Amino acid sequence: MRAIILCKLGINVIKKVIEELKSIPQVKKVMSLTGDYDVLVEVEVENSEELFEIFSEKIDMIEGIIASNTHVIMKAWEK
Amino acid sequence: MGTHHESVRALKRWNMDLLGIFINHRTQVSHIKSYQLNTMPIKISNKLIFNIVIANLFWSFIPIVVKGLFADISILTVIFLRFLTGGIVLFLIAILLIIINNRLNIDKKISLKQLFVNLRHKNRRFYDVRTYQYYFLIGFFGIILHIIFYFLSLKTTSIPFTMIGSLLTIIFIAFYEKGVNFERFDVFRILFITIISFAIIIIMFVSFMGGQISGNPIQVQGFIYILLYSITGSFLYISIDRDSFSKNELRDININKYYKIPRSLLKMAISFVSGVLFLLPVLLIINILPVEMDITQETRAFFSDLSSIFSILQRWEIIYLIVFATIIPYLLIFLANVSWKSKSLTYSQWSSIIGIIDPMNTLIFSVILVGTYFPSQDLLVVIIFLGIAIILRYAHEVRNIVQAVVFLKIKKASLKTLPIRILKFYGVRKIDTLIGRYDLMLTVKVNSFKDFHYLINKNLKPMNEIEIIEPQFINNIEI
Repeated sequence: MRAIILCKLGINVIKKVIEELKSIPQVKKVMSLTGDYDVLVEVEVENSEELFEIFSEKIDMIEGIIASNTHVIMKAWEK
Repeated sequence: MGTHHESVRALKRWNMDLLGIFINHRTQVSHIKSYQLNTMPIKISNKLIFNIVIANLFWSFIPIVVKGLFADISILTVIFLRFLTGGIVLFLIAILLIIINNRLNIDKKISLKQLFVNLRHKNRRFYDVRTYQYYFLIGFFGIILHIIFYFLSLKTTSIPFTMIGSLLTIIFIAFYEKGVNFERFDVFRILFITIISFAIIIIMFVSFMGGQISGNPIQVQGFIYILLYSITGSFLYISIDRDSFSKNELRDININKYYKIPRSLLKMAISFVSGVLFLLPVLLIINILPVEMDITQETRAFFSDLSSIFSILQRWEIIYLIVFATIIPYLLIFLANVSWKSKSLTYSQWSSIIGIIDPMNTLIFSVILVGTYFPSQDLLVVIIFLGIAIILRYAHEVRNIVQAVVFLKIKKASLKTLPIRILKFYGVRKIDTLIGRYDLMLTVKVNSFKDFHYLINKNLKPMNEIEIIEPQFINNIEI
């Protein structure tokens, strides 16, 4: 299963946070954004338990992430 | 189950062998990862770019191959045979691919009937005409007329002089994009146009000298043909990528992404065949007109060529035009378009950058292979100029791309139908349906802020089912 995590960051931490996110094997995509959120992280995990582990033990522990919002991806449409 | 997977793998391998590219998803992802947008290196991370390069290489030999044909065959015969036969073969390949897919890929069948039904779908991106009418318009005005003026220019002037038409087309398109899309002329774009203009001046000067030396000076009608060639070429470039998919087609693409290959083949087949068939009554009218022009002589020669059409068809130059300048290049570019995964530029952006290779190679090959007059120091300057133009074009395209993710909160009971309706909008590449604060995430890639503004304000905001629209611009894709 895939999920996206939208993160709000503190000041001057974006490079450090991105590097830490990139070191997590389950993280498949990291995008820096301009808008309400600063970073979009896409993770690919086996199940919701693994998602919980990744989030609680790794992503949520990264210093500099001040708020996050997680969405599970159900179906993707492409053209 | 095993047989099914084997079949899918066999189909993929077959596609791979046929077109010489690697489709494996994991591999594509890994080389995309190596691309870093922020450092802007000219690093070719997408192997499919080579499909466009090879197609352009095949096309760059066309003038050299056909120049010798024009002495004893009408240019209209060459065009008739190339596009009629090429169109029929592309049509047969499309049918064959569908049959093979439907046999090997039982879960992901492509409906031939639906493919034809979709031809009646109104093209919202091209004046609301029906899809088959759109195909005819690009076929006759963008392809057949374009090639007629191209060949007339080749016949009456020289290969280097005709290449001015290709370069003029690039400039016309740049001004069209500025006027219509309000695309700003940044420093790269201004330098790009200046350098192309210098290349045109050098080619024109050398062509005049070559004409004087060979005793065949460039005539006024040569300029007119080049101008008409550039105008029809600009029309082709601007309209060829204006497909609009119907809801049914978007469903089919999401079931089987290779649906786009037979669809594209069918598009070109219909464009070629309808364009060529419409040419016949036009030629009959030209034949009875009391005006004497180059095209009148070509028309008369065409009708007399018809008696020996099958022996002409067997000439190697015609076979080259059909196989290597029509069937193979189109297969290569359609496969590149379907499997395009670049995180930076879109397929059409890369295609326009690499398009400069075509006139550049034609110049080089015409000097090396047929001894066209072009002093080596001038040729070197033109090559350097066009090489710089490619780099400037790349820099401009990279700077101008607008990438964003747009989050939507939608009303109850609209999740089933809304994504497919939104996917039809220009610029929307992907839609993820979500569980969380938002319901949909749109991945958007457009060439200008005007296009992005149109998507948000004209396409999305009027939709009653959408409650919240939350755009987020992508600064950088890190991995």
